[in-house]
Amino acid sequence: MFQKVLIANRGEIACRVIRACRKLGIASVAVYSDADANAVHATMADEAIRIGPPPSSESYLVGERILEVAKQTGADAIHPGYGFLSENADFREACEAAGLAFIGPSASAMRLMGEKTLARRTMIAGGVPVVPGTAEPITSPDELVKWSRDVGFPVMLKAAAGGGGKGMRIVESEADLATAFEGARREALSSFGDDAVYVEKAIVGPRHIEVQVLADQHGNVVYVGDRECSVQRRHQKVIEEAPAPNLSPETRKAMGEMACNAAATVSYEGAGTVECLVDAEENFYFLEMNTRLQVEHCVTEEAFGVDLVEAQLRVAVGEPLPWTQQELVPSGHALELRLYAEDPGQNYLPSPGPLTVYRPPQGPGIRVDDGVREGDTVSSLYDPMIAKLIVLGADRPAAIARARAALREYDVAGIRTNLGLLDAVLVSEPFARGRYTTGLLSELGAYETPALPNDDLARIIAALAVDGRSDRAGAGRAGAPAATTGWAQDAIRRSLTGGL
Amino acid sequence: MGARYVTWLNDREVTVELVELEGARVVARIEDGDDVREHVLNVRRSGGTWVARDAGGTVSRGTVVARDEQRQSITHGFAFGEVRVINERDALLGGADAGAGGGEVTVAMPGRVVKVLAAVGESVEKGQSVLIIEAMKMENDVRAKRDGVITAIHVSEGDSVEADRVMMEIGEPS
Repeated sequence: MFQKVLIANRGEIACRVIRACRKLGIASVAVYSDADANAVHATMADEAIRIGPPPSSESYLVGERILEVAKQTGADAIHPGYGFLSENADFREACEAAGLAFIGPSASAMRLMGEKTLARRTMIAGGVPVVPGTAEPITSPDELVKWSRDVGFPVMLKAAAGGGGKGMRIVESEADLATAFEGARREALSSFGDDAVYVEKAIVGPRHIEVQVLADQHGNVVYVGDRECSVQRRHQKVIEEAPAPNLSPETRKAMGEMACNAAATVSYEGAGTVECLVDAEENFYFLEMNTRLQVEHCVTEEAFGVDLVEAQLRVAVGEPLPWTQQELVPSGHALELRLYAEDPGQNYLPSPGPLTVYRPPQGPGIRVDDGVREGDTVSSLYDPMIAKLIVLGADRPAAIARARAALREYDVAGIRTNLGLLDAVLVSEPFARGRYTTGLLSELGAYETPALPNDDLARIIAALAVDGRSDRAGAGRAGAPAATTGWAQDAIRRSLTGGL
Repeated sequence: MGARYVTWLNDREVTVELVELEGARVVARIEDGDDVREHVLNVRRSGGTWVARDAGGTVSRGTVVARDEQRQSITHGFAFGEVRVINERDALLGGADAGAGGGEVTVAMPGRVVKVLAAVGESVEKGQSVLIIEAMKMENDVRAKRDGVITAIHVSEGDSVEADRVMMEIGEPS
């Protein structure tokens, strides 16, 4: 097994990997930007090394600097987490050249899957079903108009170099094509450093279901079930569940086998995800393969009772797959709810700021993977996802009930979050029935944050008035812990942030 | 006489007098129009969270998300709103501020101006996108909060803006 692993990431996923290393007796090295000097991951690892200023382009994305730190600390492997350098084939090769193991697939598998148009060609050659689309990036608006007319609207624009919803646009009519093309290119350039965009026919009313695969270095591949990821806004996932509800066992099996075939086609190693679009008749199409650990890997871990990060580390040192396909049977139903620092009541406006209160829920069947603690500041420089709430229930209704209870227990203040939206989705009729598509959030309409209840007026008003009052009492007392009262705490915060 | 405060919850004005305040025990006299009642409450504050239990045993809990001198933004379950609490003297002196009426285009987060979608003199409708701001790696539409004519634009494309910066002003409709 590895002696020391450097985790080239931040936030909850860095913490997740540190835990897995610790379980296997592996020393961990965290890296951090100046904005993260006191972040959880940088204080949790055995060693933590500064890699640069706050912008990720000057820190978490600087491969040379990370390799330097690996050398300096004597790490023998790098775990890239997700995002940042996790799907960067050049970095993967640089690790190899530096004599470091990279916990993930080969550079060639990354390249074949990472460039989306190449992935499509490779999958077509391997007999994997794909959605109709352009084989090459689109270079001119005219070409885009022509292709879209031929295949018919709506069409989907996608960044050739990326994923995660950045650079993606669904276009309903020709009139919107030029603006969407420009926007997609701009976002693709700023997110991935490459403005190449391609276009696919948009499958109307699809479900987004993905298959978790794990492959070892000996040519064995298993699928660890599927995940329903159709609750999305702007192509960013919000709620995932495993197994996908209302999917026939035959389709489930066929998708799993297709995913293993896709992985085998590129001689895949390690954990990966094959994303599919599934239509109402359960026809499924290969969408893309994410050659890394996914944000939502935990929902599979809970449903199947496995540790995917441990499995990644084990296969990366050449161990055979830890499970046979027959052993992989879900023991219940799991949901993952992503907690975002944003205000769904205001068109999902990001809400960075100080986490003055942060208290995650507890109890059986509840797991919270987070990378923040009370008192931290959520930066506008990084991803707005601050935590994942994962619940396991004996069946789907039990999981939903548990998730709703946990959401009510989650206390967060200082920033706005999507907790209320998550609950609204769970109680919505399509979600409750387990019959929904990627259109769910837009069908539910703009989220309206409920107003404060007038019938609770006395208790609310009294509690808030008491707050101001008790501070004044505290301020006059020598040695009183003034900073524990809300007003004083707020005054400190305001002086730090220059107002609200 | 205890401290008196004028408060607003959902634009409803209520006067509260803290008759007794001893540890967590609070006796609050609340005047809500003609409805005047004394409530005996157990109020506990811990960091930004509060729990208030009345004599009947009903519990109300929430967290203070943000505040300035007068306004406290609170969550209460999944509800969110603003409560203004000011002492009665300040209220009588007109200390409660009136708000900007939606004429100032601001955004409650720092970011970078990607595009300015309206020009000075242009008529805009409430809900219309007037700016695109990039923050947290995503582009976000900033929409007009009222109908009117753009009277001033204080930012250019590429500018970094801090939270609450007035980026545009919208005057009366033409």
